[in-house]
Amino acid sequence: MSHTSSLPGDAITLSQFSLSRLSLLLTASILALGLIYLQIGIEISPARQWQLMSGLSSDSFDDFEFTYARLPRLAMVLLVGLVMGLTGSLIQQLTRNPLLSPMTLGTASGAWLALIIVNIWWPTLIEDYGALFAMTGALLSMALVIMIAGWQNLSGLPVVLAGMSVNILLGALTSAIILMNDQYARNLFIWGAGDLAQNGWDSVLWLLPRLAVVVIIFAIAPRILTLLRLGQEGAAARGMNVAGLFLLLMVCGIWLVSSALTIVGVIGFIGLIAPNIARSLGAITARDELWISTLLGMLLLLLTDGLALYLSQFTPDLIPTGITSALIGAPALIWFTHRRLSAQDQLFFRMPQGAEQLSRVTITLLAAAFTLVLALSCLVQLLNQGWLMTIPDSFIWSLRWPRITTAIAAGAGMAIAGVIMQRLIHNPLASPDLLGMSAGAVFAIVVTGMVMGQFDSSFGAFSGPIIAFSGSMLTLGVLLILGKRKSYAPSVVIMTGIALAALIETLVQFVLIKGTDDVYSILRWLSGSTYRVESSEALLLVSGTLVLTGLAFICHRWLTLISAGRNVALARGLDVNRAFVLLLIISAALCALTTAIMGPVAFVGLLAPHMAAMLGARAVIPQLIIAAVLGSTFLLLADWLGQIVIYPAQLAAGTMVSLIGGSYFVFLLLKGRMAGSSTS
Amino acid sequence: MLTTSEKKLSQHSNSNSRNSGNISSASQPNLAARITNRIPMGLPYGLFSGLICWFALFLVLFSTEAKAQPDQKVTANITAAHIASFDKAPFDKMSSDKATSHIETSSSLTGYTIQDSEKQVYFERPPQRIAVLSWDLAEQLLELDVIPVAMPEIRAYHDWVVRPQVPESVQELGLRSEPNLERLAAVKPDLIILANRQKDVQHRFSRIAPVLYFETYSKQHNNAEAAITIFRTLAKLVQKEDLAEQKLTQMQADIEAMKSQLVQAYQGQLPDVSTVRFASLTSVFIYGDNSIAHYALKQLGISPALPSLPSLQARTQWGITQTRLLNLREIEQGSVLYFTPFEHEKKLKTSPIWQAMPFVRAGRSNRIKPTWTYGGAMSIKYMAQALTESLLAIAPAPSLSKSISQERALYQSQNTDLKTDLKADPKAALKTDLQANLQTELQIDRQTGLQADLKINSVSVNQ
Repeated sequence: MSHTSSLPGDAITLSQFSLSRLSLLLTASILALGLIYLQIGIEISPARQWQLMSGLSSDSFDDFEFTYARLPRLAMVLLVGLVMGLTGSLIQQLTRNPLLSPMTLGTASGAWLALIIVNIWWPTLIEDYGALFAMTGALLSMALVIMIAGWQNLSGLPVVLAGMSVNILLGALTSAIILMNDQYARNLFIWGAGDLAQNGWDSVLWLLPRLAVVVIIFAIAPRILTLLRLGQEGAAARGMNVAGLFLLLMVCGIWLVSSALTIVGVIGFIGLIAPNIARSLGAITARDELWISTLLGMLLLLLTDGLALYLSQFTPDLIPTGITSALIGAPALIWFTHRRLSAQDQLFFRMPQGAEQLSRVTITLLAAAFTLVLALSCLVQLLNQGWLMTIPDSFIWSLRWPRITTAIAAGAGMAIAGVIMQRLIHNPLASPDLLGMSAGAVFAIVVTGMVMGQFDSSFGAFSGPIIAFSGSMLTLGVLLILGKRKSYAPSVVIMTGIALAALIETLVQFVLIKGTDDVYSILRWLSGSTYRVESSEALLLVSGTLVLTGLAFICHRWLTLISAGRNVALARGLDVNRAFVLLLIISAALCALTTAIMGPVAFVGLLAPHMAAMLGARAVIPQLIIAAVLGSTFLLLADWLGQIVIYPAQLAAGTMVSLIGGSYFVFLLLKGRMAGSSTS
Repeated sequence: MLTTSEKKLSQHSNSNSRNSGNISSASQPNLAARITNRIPMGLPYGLFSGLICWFALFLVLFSTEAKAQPDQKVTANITAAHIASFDKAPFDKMSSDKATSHIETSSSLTGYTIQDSEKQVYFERPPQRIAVLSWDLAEQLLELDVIPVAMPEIRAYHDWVVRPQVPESVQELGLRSEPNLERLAAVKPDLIILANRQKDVQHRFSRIAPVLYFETYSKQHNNAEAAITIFRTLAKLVQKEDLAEQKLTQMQADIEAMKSQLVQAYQGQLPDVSTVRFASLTSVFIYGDNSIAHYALKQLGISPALPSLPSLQARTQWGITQTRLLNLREIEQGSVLYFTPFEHEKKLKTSPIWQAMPFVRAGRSNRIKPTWTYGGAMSIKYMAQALTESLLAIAPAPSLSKSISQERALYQSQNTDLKTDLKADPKAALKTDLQANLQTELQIDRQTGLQADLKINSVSVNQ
């Protein structure tokens, strides 16, 4: 992919003079805000504060609070803000991708997984080595994302989608582990929610030396980034070791981010928004953007944390900074995406490599696989003594059939939703669950639960599906309204989905820190389990999926035209926007229905269409059919395996799917990468 | 209601189809229509109306289900006879091979009725094979010397609840939130005892065996008192009411003993105490009203130390409220005990904010050894023991050096006989003398080797 494309946002040009004035203004506002920040809820006089800052030793508890809680917190806010603004800008400039940030590259989920694993299996190590493990996790997951996308290939949407998939995969793994060991993970939830509160200067002093890298970045990055703007070839022609320097800067950035992440937990969005605001304020040269973005990062975090502090005056509850930053950041991100991204970043729908035509053998094998999995889930009974093949009696059957039908219908539904979505968005990496459809449902459930104060079981059984369904439809509505002006450009849709997903992740963490048993009912629902599906719900899902699938088949010609490209479809006289919206509604409704009944199911919508195409189902109708069969086989298998692998406990089907599907997906992408690099 | 909405629904779809028909016949043959000529005309409108109808159906289906739910509860509430007929058919089929307790349709006089959190169930004789699906209820049964046939998450139970131990013979059922129903059926229990986490799927369990549902943790009642009531109910269920009463009396006596021990150590001035668990170095869970810790402290005659922040100890379902560590500054006079394990305990102890807390400065804070905080009736005793142990270690001892008071605490926690000795004490006499100096106190109270020990120690200190 070319590296010469300019970032959006450099339309306005500022003279050097006004730019220095801008940075002065920003610095002044940071100072002013910092002073205000120090006063929030602090009872000692400013004079006394000054004395304390100039070295007087603390006496009363108020003094201690100021010197050892508020001041270090301010220092931490500034440091972390600096790291976020700087690395955000660095990564975006390096990759020429305005949508990248540590958050979208999967660092947080990697660190979170690592911390949970250590905490559960080696709890004694957490006090001394926790930071180290979190950092390793963050680095590994980021490396994985970059490997999937290919490091020369970081400027487009694929890397964002790859980050999203890795987030989902690691997230599923983490919640599965938490659910299996629910008592053991409680003490980490605060970290997951992103909290900046300090107790003494230890953390600041831990972080400070690790930030020395900042100096290197400011010293060498501007020149390198400027040269990189000429494109890799141009830079290489000027005698630059492009790969080496690129890697060096990237590693510096990742190092900074993981250090900050380790200490304060998951605080998203700032690294993503700050550089975008910087550019829209007119910072065009590499150095300006770095500076302005760094200042903005500090300012933004100061604002969000100030808000958190201010709010916590009115409630004894804990308000983590992660939540305020997400509440401000998610809408800001959507707004920015909306304003900045053009409808023109066209991505063509490219079929993955594979068979050209469906062979009879493939079809037979598929049918056989489906029958086999169905037979397994119907007939096999696992007991203490071992395996047993029996015809289930009426009680066992009454337990099994809702699960089996739910898995089949949900698998098929998600697969069809995926086919539609991939062809609409022109991106083989798109899927409804990546685009916030499931996220909308989850959001509705979590928010309702928060408002009602508890996630009672009756709440989940009855009103849950309706709330989930309306949440999903609401998200769709927002997407459609926002996307309309941009003619539903894929990037806008995707970024909105990502912003929503991140917002939801934060809300879930916010609920988790309450630490009561109720949080596990949310986690359980989030893992997509068929355990609690009642027979009436299963029937509803089946019939709903049938109706919507029928609609999808009726509309298959639109799908064919749109996947040939918007212009082609327009030229053939299709009302593209209307067709787009209707198809999107079908896809979202399928997804919402599944989410409402059994919770979010990831990866089926992504993988089934992909695999169908690889098997040779290249036209719309065969792809729909084969994907549906694949999807249901896959989910059924996952449900069955989930009941077996850790018998007598069970893993949710959604988790199993994420684990199997996610690993397969990563493998597929890596394999494609290897093949691609060897041929080129 | 159903019929009207159905009618509406059909009218709706009729008018829609008519609409779409009109539109399709009236619409101009535009380019889009020509291209998609295979698709029925007016498809977009049909599609929309289809979706709307679909959503309406969705709502109707669920609202009818919601209406059906309270009805079930009413049935369950009436009498045992009704429940029996309600459950009889599937239940008979499931357990026809065993001759243990059955719910009888006729109320013969030999049996007894058990009131659970929702309904009454009649038992002819005590159940023999009980499957229990929550830790606190399992704990209660084990305390009654009843070994359940199956329970969930046994390994984690041993890590967290610790006592009483679960015997090897008990079968594992998987997760508490998703117990394995097929396995449960295979175990062939004659009674299944459920708790909060399985409430919404109760009807499935009742197809395996009769079901009792106990809600220990709820905002609506005092959890500790509920635990005691449930303990008694379970005792009646297994016909071991004598044992239960004996254990409860013993617990009361033990707590009284601990109380007088504390009164003695604190010279009649019991401190206000709040208990917390650290969530991080900067935030805590406060065990407020409705927590076992709160109840145990009350039994020990100790009030909570957070009068100025009522919301922090308000009654919640689980009895805990999360807050910032900084808010603990409000505790000026009282003591604060924190539950272990806390993995950053080392860091906490050296942290400036913790050290600046009034109660830390005054030496009125201590750790509590790992104790399960969501248990049954007997866990109140274990909690009280842990709390007493912790409080004794920081008891102010004007004439004793701190090391001696710690030794004493250690000794007392190890010496179980001490409690019975103290129980025999004339408490009234003891109390009046508590204000006297330590020498006198020890002379009055020279019944155990410990006090003799202490006297020697204190004498050496005084010298």
